[in-house]
Amino acid sequence: MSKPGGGPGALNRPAPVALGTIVFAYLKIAMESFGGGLSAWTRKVVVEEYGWLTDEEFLSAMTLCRLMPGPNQINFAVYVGTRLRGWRGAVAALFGLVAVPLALVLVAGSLYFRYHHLPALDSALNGMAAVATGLTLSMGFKLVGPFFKRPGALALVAAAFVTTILFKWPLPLVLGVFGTMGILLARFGTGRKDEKGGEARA
Amino acid sequence: MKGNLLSLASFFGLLSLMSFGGGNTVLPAMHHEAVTLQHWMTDPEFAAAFAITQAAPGPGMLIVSLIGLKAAGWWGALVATMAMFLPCCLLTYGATLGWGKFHESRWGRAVERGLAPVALGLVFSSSVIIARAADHDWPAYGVTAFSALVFTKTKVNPLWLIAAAAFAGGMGWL
Repeated sequence: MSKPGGGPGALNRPAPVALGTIVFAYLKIAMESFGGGLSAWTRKVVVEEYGWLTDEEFLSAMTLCRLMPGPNQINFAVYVGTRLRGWRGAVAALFGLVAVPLALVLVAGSLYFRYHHLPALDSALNGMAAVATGLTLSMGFKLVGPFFKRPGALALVAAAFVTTILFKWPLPLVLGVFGTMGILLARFGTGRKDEKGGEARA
Repeated sequence: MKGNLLSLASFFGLLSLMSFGGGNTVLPAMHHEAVTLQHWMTDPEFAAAFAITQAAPGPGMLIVSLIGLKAAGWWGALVATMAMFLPCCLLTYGATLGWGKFHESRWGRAVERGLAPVALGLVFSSSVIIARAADHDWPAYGVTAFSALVFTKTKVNPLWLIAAAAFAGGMGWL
């Protein structure tokens, strides 16, 4: 057994978690997320089954991963792996999370690109796309609730939507203009309470 | 092919650093690049790639692998995937080591709160872009509305509805 591979961020554990265990845990998360719900499965495995993070650490880490660019769950795998075993742990978690799904997606995709002149296949995929669109939409609905209490933030939601869809603004412009406005509003806006109280106004 | 590989690497490498709020926020940008600008794939192909990666296990962001596959074959898939995942992973790796402090700072909270609404607006944009790309007709919009309602109100595993819709579509009911 080698020493804990972690840098400054590694957890203080009696024995380092084996890299294979990290790969396996993340493979499990990936396979259980057939059809979505990746973040819920991550919590179940990482917090409940392995006890690698507490619930509080989990939420704080989710925030970090939302803050950083990139897919949240990819970032989260990097976070968990890094905390457990440094960069080797991060690679192990990523590999576990991505390898099998990537293989499946590529096989399905190459079959599709070859055979999609079959009308039945095309309309089956159209049906799937309709549901998957609904899934994306439902994520928006689930997240929008708290914003009704923050008119400034709600305006930014609408602004990002309208400029992207109607005016076809590119992403850097949308982020540059409205992201900056959002950050400045959140930092200097009026009516801000301190974090414990919850509802700051942006 | 070489040119496509370079375009894939530079486009997804940059996109990786701009994809705040998760994968769904950059779908509009991907669609613009892959379909409108570069003609790597058609609208129906983009919608199908989205459907495949949503139904498959793992991160939905694997749609980049399929865009790469269509644009430049297997190497394209590899290059697009690496370009999308590597930059943000390196950033997160660094951030994990330095987290704690920034999160507690006022600027840290402001960044977190300030980017959230923009990310949410982009999630809604993604739904519209996909619906358009799939060339939704009224039954399909109905399915989208129905499944959005079901997924918002219940904890049903999305796979059930996806399978049902694939079947209904394959039978020509949609």
